[in-house]
Parts: sequence; C-alpha cells; structure tokens
Amino acid sequence: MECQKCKKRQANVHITQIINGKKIEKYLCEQCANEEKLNFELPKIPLYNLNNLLGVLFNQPVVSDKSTIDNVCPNCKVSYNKIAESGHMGCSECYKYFALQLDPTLRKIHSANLHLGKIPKRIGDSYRIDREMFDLKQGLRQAIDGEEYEKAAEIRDRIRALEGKMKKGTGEML
Amino acid sequence: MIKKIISRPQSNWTKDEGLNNNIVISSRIRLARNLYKLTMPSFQKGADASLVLDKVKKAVDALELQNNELLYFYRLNELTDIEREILFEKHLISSEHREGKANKGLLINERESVSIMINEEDHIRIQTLFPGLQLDKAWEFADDIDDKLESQLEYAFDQKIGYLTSCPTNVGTGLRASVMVHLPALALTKQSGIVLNSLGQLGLTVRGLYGEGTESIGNLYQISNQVTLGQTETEIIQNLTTLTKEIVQKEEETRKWLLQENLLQLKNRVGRAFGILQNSAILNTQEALNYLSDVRMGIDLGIITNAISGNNLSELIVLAQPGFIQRNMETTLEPIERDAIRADLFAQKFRVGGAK
Repeated sequence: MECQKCKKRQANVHITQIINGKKIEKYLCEQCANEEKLNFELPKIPLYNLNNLLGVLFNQPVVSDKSTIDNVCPNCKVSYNKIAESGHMGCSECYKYFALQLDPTLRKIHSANLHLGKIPKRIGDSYRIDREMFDLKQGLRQAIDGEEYEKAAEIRDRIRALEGKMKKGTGEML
Repeated sequence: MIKKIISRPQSNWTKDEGLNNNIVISSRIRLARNLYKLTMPSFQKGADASLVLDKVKKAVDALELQNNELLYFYRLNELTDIEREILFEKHLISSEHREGKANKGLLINERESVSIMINEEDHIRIQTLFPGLQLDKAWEFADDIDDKLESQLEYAFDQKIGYLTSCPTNVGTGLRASVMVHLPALALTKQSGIVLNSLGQLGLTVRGLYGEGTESIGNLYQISNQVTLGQTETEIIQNLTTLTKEIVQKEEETRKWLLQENLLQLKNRVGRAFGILQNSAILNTQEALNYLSDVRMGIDLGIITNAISGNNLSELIVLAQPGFIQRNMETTLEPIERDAIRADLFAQKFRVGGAK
C-alpha cells in the first residue's frame, strides 16, 4: 500500500485516531508520519482559564433574573455579572452592595463568614470593645468546656469590667 | 538602590539565619490591602491606577521612615526588563508585576526584607521575607509596616468580613503566610506527594518555586495557608509553623533512614551532582537547581565538604536564574550562551571540595 500523504513511498505506519468519537485511519510512510508529528497530548490550557474557575463559586443568578445580573455597584459601576465572571471585585463598596450574593461565596471559600483578625486602628473604639467582648465570651465558653474554672472566673471578671466600661461609654455619649 | 539589589545574589531571605534554615529556606508574609472606595486593579482605568500610586507614595513620604524601614519607590515601567526579571527571581515581585505595565509600583527597603507592590491584584500588597522558619518575625514586621501605612491611608475594611480584597479568596485577614522548603529525601523516596497532598486537607496549599502554577524544581516547595477568613493572623501563622516543623521532622527522619540504609547510593548521587556542577560546560537553570538540591543535602548530611567559594547555597539558587546570569549584559543572551556562563560560574564556585 502506498502512503496516503506523499503517495510515493510504501506505507508502513498505521495510525488510528479517535477525535470526538469519530475514528480516522491513516496509512503513512515513516517519513510523512514524522513530518505530521502527531501529537496525542491534550492541548495546553491557558492559565487564565483556570483563574476563571473561581467564578463558579459565585452565586450564579437565575438567567431570567435580569435585575441581579445587570445590577451595577453604585460606586464603581461594575456589574455583578462582571464580578462573577472575573472572580474579582470592582471596589470595596461592591462587598456592601452585593453582600447578599457574596455571603454564600465567602462561606464556600473559607467555611466562615466572620473576620476575627486584625482591626485597623482607625475603626472606632466601640467596635473594638464589641470584638473584645466577642473574643472573651468565646474564651469563657472554651474554658468552661475544658473545665478550667479558674481561667473561666478570670475571664468572667474581665467581661464584667468591660461591660462596665461599655455602660459608662454609652452614658458619656448620650 | 535598584542597581545594588539586582547586582547581588544576596537577599534578606538567603541569609544563614532562622530556625531549621537547612530545610526551611525562607518564610514569607503577604498582606493584601485596598483603599476605600477606589476601583480595584482588575477594573482600574489609567487614572484610577495612577491615583492609587500617588496616594501610596505620598503616604510613605509623609511617614518619613528611617533605617531598615526606609523604602525606595519605583515605577515598574521605568525599570529595565532584566531588572524586573531579577526582582522576580529574588521573589521580590510577582510574575504579574514583572510584566512592567504602566502605573505598577514597588516600594522596597535596602535589606530586601520588605517589598510593597502597588496595583498588583490589590492596591497594596505588603510582603516581608525572612530566612529560615520565622513566620512570627516576618509577621511582626509586616504588621508594623501595615500599621504605619494605615495611619496615612484609608483602608477598605468591613467590620464583619475584615479587609476587603480584590479576590474574595483573600478577604478577612488578607494574609498569606508561606514557607519555602527543601525536601530532597522525601522526594527521593517518593513520599513528598503523599505528605504534601495531606496538607491540602489541613487547609494548606503547595506550590512550586515561583508560586501559582509553577512546577517544583530542585525539590523546593512553597507551602501556604488557604483560608484567610474566620481565623486570626496568629492562628494562621501558628498552624503553618506547626505543620512546617512536622514536615521538617519527616524530611530529617527520611534523611537519617537514607544514611543508614542506602549510604552507598546516597554518596553516589550526591558525589555525581557535585561532579556535574564542578565540570559542566553547559548547564541550564533546571539542571543547576536539581544538582544543587543533591549537593545541599550532601552538605547537610556531611557526605561532602562544604567548599563553595563566596556564596551560600541559597544565594546559588538566585545565581542560577536566567535573568541574574545576564545582569551585566547589554543584550539578551541566547539560552546556550547563558548555559555556558552558568556552567563556568558553577565550576568556579565548586572548584574545591567534594566527596569525603
């Protein structure tokens, strides 16, 4: 049999390719087969495609729900659709404006939706006290669960002191 | 300052300091911060970006930082291709920043212990880099710089979900803590896959030498936290520190086992790697890093004598990089020319010493 490509030399390479379920058979000579450099590897996927996987985690609004898709952040004018598509936010206000849609996304990524870390010093003292109270109450529960009663008593005293400070604080503010 | 930085293979992270520095090459802290209401980099137009750049620069000028905190400012598009390449190779900027597009900024101190990228994925990315396992020290430094910047800039912060970042995967603390570890024995015994995969279940991510999407070369891996919301910075850092110590122990145990059970094979491998570094005429980056890995383990285990002239092993990782090889050249070299220069350089470094 002659080579199907050059139609000169003897075909001694038999190739069967199945692409999308379609079987293609080729009979080529060694030289033509080499020239074709048949590449059976998967094509390289560009990296940016992988980043977009993140978009899947965003709550995809129902297609008919045009209002959510086209809704834009009043500050930066980026639409929710664009955010979900890119996996990136337009500005800090987007978090506020699309808070409802983002909450499930955050939980999917972090298994949490409450920040427990550092607070900028600029943020008011009242918030700092709230956070301290939250942390103390959590510590108290842990101490009781661990039957560390001495530690629990100590935390309880600190909570009382903080409560006093809070009352005084509101009094002054009024 | 930039000329000094790109002309030396030394960086803060290449020093022979810090806990377990034979296995833990470096510790890194990255904080993602954004400015209130300003359009974030993914959707920025030229004017938005240049406003951010100006604001950050002014803030830093106003701080009048001194000594080790003194920061030098650069626009990436004003640096040369080679300068950006070397900054990337020294882990001081990301691959995205390396492209040198307009309105991308860098603030860096002389010791290279802190580098701040402006208009990367976020408006501000503070990064601190220390040698060995000292995430706590790197955190303290980053935290301090962050406090200072915050005193001049209005950060985007939400009381419920914390620091607001361009990508929701960083929201909360905006903290990514990572360590670069050298695990030749685990790799040699085909255990690294098992050990590193199990880290995924513990909320950690493993990447190659140059971060996201890169392969591990020279048995170097970067391990970092995945979750940034719902944990304190201290918890994140302690968790990574504890698990890194665990990995160090596994690597050490495996090295001991190799030494006891396979001394001959180990000596052979290490000695051959040394011989190749000493005698090659053509040496590419990947080969250099892979043989350096064997030699590093050999030195750690006392199989070969440490006789590298002038530089320590971490500096050699930088020295092997293609950009760094070309630092004094006017034109870009062909790969084969670079490989020849690299081979020459390593031949000099490994002139003396070898198998005991």
